[in-house]
Amino acid sequence: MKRRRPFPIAWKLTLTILLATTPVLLLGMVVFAARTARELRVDLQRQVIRSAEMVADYTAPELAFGYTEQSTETLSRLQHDPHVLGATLYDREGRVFATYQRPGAELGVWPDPARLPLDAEPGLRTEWQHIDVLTPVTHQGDRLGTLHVLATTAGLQARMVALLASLIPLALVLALVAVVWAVLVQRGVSRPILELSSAARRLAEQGDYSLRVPPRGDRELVDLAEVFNSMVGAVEARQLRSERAEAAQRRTAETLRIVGQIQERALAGHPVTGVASEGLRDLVQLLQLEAAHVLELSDDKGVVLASYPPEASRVGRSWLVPKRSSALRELTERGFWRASREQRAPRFLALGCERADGHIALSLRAGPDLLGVLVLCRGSGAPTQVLERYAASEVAEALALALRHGRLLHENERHTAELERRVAERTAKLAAREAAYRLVITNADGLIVVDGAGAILFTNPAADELLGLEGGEPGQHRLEQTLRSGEVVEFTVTMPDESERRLSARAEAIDWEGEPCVAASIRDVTERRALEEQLLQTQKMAVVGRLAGGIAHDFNNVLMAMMGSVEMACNEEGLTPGVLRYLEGIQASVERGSALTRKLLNFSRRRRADLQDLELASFVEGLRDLFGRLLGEGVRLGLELPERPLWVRADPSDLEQVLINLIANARDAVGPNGQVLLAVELGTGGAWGAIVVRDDGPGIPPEIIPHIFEPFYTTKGIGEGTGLGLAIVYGIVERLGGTVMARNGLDEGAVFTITLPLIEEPVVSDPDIAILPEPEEIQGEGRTVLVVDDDEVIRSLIQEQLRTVGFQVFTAPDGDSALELAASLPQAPELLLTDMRMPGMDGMELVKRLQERQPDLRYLYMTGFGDDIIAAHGSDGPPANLIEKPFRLPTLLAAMEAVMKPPRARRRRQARRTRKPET
Amino acid sequence: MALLCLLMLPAFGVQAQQTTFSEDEVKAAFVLRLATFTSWPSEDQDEGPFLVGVLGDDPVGRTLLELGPQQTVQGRRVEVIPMNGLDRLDDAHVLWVPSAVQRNVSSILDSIRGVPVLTVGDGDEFAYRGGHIRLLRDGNRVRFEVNLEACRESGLTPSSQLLRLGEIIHDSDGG
Repeated sequence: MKRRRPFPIAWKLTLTILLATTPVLLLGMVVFAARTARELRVDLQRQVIRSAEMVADYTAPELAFGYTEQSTETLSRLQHDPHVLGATLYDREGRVFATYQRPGAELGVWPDPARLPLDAEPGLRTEWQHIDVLTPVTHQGDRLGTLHVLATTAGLQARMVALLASLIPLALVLALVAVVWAVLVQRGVSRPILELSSAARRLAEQGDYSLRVPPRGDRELVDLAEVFNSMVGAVEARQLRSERAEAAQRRTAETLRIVGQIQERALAGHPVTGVASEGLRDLVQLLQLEAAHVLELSDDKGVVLASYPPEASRVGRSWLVPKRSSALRELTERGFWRASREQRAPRFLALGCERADGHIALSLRAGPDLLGVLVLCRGSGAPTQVLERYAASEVAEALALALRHGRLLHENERHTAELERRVAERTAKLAAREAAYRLVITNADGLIVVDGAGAILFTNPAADELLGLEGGEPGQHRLEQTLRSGEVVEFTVTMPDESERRLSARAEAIDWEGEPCVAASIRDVTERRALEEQLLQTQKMAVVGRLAGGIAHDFNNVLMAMMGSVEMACNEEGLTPGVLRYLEGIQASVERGSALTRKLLNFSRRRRADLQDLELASFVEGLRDLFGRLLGEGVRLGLELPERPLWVRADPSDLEQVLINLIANARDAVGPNGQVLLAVELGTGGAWGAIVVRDDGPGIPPEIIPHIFEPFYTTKGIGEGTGLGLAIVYGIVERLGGTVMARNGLDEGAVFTITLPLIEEPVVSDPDIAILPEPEEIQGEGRTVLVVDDDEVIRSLIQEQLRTVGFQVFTAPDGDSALELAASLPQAPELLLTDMRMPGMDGMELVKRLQERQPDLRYLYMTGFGDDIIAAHGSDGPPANLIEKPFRLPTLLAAMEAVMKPPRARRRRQARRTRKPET
Repeated sequence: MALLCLLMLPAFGVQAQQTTFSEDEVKAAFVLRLATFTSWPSEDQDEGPFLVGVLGDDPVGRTLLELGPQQTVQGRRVEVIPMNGLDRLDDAHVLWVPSAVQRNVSSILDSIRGVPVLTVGDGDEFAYRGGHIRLLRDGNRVRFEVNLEACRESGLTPSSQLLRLGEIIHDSDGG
């Protein structure tokens, strides 16, 4: 509970003075006022009584003789007394004899019978506002009647009010004087006391014992101040003593704490360097040393173990510690050498002695063994105090213990660590082996153990997975396939999800828990077999393709010769219309043959693709009309297009060809009222775009599905197809890095799915428009052309054709003769027109060799083999400087012109002109 | 009882005469009352009865004779004595001289000249003839005339209160 703070003495003093003076003052005033009032009242009474008596005396004979008029007149004399309001004279019997009422006085009923009872005794009755005087009227002892005089005290009250009005200001002035006096007295008394108390408070709060109070004020206060000052002095002295004692105690306690901490940490196994460092830090702080060091001495060397402050370790390095054991032992019995940085010469520091520069060295001993030295750098030569020596020796002892303990611990730890290391090594080796075994067993091929009856006794996880076994006891499952020791067998198992899996097992006879069993490692070969099959298929397709390509190449040369010859023949003059018609028939057949070889090349990847960025949905949408016409009237075409754009990189005419082929197949399958659905969708995994062509026809016989993409494999009748449609699809899609798959739908009908790798949405750029020169405008104008081709027919054909348009043509059958010819020509040829593939030096080599001599040589390759295009320019590089066989003269002239013209006229897409528009 | 009523008379003044008391009764009461307001020389202050002499035979005298002895004047018992001659007049303190004896008034007054006997009468010019106090009817009330000189000659002192109420006359005033 909080005690209520007592009132200040100043207040009390003031209050006391006021309490003492104010009542006296008030009492005096009241007494004075009362006395005055009383005197006034008595005066008034006397006056009234006097008047009454006088009138009574006068009225006695009037009463005696019954003279009422005279009596009334007599009473009216009372008007001279201003206090009298009225009077009534009663006779002996109490009857009214005469009355008087002061004019203007409001007395109400008068004489007022209530005011004067009949039996009223003569005398005086004083009320607040009135004085009633009853005076007997006597004559010679005979009472004749009674006179009642009523007087007002109004005058008295007025005088009292006036008196109070003069008294109250006086009282106030007196009270003020009292207050002022009280304050003055209070101040005189309390001011020195307040000074004293504030000094005491400061003393208590700030502990400033040097504080003194000036003696002033009254004698007692001066005494008090002097007593206070002497008391503070005494306290100050005691405080000083106490502080010193406390400091000493604190230092001792701190010493013990440091010692305890060193011992505790040392025994707890902390590193001795850390323990020593912390101990030194505490000691340095306690004794306010400059630095301290612990030097550890062992049999054959001495090192600085710890220093504080840590930067003092530089100094520590300069401690000279003997290295050799005999010298060490000798020295450490007495002291050791110290080399200071300032003084090069080493100095001897004796143990236990204080040097003039304040250094002290203390030995750290364990029994007879000197383990180290504690060096304290005090920074001044002042003699050490008892406490310092005590602390230093205690800490030294603790440090010695720590050193010894650390040394023992170190030994112990080394042994333990060695043991642990060996154990761990062994354990790790064993664990690794165990893990390896486990790993081998777990991750090996399936391992099973089967008894003679075919019951499976053991499986590893791989075998469980391979055989589709899920848990179960040993012997619960059976293996249908019989395994014989030393044999490798392949067999098919049916998995729980009805899928089939091809397994290969190699069996060995073993003894399993005493019974002759067979242990077999089984391996899943499903994928391998499938891959083998696929590889086989691919190889077959590749061989077929190469075969077709080779045939096409040779056939192209044949067609080229035929085309050229027919062209030349047509230009002969004097041909009959019949001959001309035959020649045109030959030309049409050559065109058809050329188209056939082109298709073959398309399948066998011998043709270069014109790759563009395509958006599948809009691409398919753009072909909707074409597909509609292709399908005819009765067949309905459904399109399912995705919402998000799917971009692929493909040759649009290739892709168009693919879709036309698939849709044409579908049309043939569904019959007159069928339905074909073309869907573009996002393929599995999101990285593929898929085009699905689905029909509601009878579907594909399962046995032909594996062969369906082979060339010339057709189910159509004679004249309905070439057998190249799906082969071309396959070739194109494969070339685009996609896949094509044929299967039967769930209900019915065939489903062909093409997947193509998706690309990022391209930035739209302006289409590159090829400007083709008009062939008719091209003229040789005597420019020289060197034509190199191993085919004699073609060579002479080209020579003749070019000559007709004004070129000067030289020919060579191969590279070597071409080089010779070029060297022998007086003027270098402006253009080299060479076949890509020739015996010996090929076309590219020839160009290179010729350019060594003639860097500005223009050249144009001819080829009937699509691979050459790719070889010359990469898969999608610009097909410059190349013309595909077979070609007609205008095509050749345009290509030549493009090469020979200045660079401005070169067009990246000029090779396009070599392609027939109908393909 | 009658005396008591008589003594109450002055208190009622006029009303007394109108209602209760006769003029004679009032005059009788006045004789005794006047005596109370008069001082006699001090040698006469003996302890004997206060003697009221009555001359003649009139209603006032008779009333005095009837009621007087029950009264006191100046603390002394009142004794009313009928006076038949002039020889004992000076024994009385107060002498009632009715108008019936008016013709002999001079001789009566002469017989007691210088003697302290208060003479009260109701005859005309009683006071002018040397009588001390004359009672007279004034309308409804009884008034009195005082011959102060005669009083002083006789050694009597009417009180100032009495003089204030009565009419003071002198010998020469009368006609």
